Amino acid sequence: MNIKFISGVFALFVIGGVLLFSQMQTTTDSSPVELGGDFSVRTLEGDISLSDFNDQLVVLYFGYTSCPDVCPTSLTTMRFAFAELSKTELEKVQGLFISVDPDRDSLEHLATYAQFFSPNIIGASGTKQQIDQAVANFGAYYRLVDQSDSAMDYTVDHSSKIYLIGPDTQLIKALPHSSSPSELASLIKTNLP
Amino acid sequence: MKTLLLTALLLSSFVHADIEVSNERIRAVAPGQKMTGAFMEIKNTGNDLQLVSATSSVSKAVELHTHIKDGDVMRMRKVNAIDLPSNSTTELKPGGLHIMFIGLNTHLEVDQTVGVTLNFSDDRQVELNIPVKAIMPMGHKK
Repeated sequence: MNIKFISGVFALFVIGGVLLFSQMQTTTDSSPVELGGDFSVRTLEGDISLSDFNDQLVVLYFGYTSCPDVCPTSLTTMRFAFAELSKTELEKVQGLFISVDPDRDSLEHLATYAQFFSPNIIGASGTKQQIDQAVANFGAYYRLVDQSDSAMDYTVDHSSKIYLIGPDTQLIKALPHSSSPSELASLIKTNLP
Repeated sequence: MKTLLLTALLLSSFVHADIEVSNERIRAVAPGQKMTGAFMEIKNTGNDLQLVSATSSVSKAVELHTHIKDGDVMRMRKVNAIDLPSNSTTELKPGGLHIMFIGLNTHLEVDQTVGVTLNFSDDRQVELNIPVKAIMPMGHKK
């Protein structure tokens, strides 16, 4: 009876382990490979869709302009990566900065802000629904966090990755925040359409 | 560094020899931008100390902030003070601790300097003229 009990417990452990493992597998399977898809956002020049850039790579970053250094660092990385490309290569690439803070970031300001880093970056934002669609398609994350003790009122927690997207709107690779301009440039070069 | 100490000495009678500020810079921002950050290294060769606030006329508010890196997510938070332990150098740098200027009153041009006063926990003040610089990603030389 004791043995029966022990084997019973053991069996439960095995089943539990298998279930846990298969669940982990599922989590691992939601890898970047499956991320992507069309979305629309607003710019000073009018609405744009990711699928408009059907003969270009899109280099996408989500952020907000009140961000003091994380966003500028990523956009500067984009700028210097673009500087490593030839004119012909650069024509096949479009930088895109999407603000997840449309209440503070006007389309006018986003246009100036993006141009400050590079003429090859478009500054965009949109309705919450539009932003959430773009964020969800690429597995990004953001949240407005109340900071009532700060003059900022609220800050924005956000994932900081640079997304390289193919002409088919599918994600090629999400680069971590710490990536260098050269890493981004060589990834662009190897994936040019 | 020498020049800086000298400048600081000339600018302020409150500077004590056990605090040295170096590599201070303010990030150049796009026109119309209302916020920016300042970075620097603060060397404390005296007793444990805290940076409790910073003041400047360049913006409506000046706060001490930090970034918490949580996986891929960056969370910026206000902090009440920055610890400056005895005999160590504390780095305020992109992606970490910084002085945040909120509601800039003017556009900052590269190479102009901004007057900023650092206030420490022992009531001393250090006045700095911090240059505005285009800040590059790590490891990238202009």
